[in-house]
Amino acid sequence: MILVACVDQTGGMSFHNRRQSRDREVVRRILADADGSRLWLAQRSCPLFVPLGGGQVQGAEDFLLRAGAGEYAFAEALAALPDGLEAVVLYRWDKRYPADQWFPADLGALGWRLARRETFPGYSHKTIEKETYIR
Amino acid sequence: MRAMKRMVSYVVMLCLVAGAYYFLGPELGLGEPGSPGDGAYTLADLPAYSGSPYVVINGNQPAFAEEDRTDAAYESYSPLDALGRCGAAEANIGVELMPTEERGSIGQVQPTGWHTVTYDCVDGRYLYNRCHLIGFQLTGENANEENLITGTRYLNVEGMLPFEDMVADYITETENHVLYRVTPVFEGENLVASGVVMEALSVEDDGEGICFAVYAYNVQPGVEIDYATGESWLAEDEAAAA
Repeated sequence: MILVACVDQTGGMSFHNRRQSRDREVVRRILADADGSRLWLAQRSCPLFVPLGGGQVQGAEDFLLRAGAGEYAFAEALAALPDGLEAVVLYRWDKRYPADQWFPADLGALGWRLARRETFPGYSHKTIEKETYIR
Repeated sequence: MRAMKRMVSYVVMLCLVAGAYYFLGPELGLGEPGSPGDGAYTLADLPAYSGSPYVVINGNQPAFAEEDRTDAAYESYSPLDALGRCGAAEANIGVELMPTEERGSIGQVQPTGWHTVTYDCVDGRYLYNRCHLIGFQLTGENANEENLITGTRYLNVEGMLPFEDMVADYITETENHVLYRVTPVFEGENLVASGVVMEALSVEDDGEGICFAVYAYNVQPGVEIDYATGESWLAEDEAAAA
């Protein structure tokens, strides 16, 4: 499973059960990366992806358990890093938003290596960083 | 005109609730922390500062009337009171209200309690910012004295900016509207607000995207403030460490 998440400058993910931010350019890139595979996510995340035509989108509340090898899982809330991860992709907003839920792990401290960092302009964000971590 | 009527109604409602709270509060069980239910907050309703720049109030539920939940953009600012202090600022923000030009100078505005003072322990050194109630990036209001209070750097950057950025980016991305109200909370006749209540609700998706009610503290770690006048001094522990 390749885990995908969005975080702000402090690693925040959500505030009072709402996502901190969204950007259609991020959605487009996630769909492109998952092309030819399946993209698993929670039902509440579906409205982000379905309008952009993601036929590979699979909504399920237990999506982290269902995502198999080589498949993508987009998480907007995480209590802990799931087992069986092949890679982690973080899209980092260029702002600090309100947060009460944060990405649950310091990837570097857990032995993950930053394999690639890419910066690109979003639709509603001036710059967004995409970081890909592998073991 | 409609926006002005709404603001007058809001102020009248605030006065009525304040009166009811004073005379009937104990009997009615009013005054639970952060739960006035209609957007009218007093300092007694709000929790004391305990290290976080903001705190959720009223179960994170903003108090906007059902009839205000439309896609008609407006902005409304309270007239200054007899002491020259700002009141609530409210808007229904859409892309049509957001600025298309860079912000101009606001240095000519002197909000109540204003002092130009610097401390080494403050980010950027200046203790006070001319702090927009409704951020410039949301409605493009520049040097509007009814929209500027004396706010600490901490209030401006740590307390308010994250919420302003979240709302601004949501509107830019979705082109939806967000009802937005910021109410400064003054204790007695203090010239410097103790903090601001920030409320917001996205209209077209009925709060699915944006929904919050928070109180942001007008404090500055390491600095003590006399809110009656705006005078300030280094906190004892900071002074001892210096």
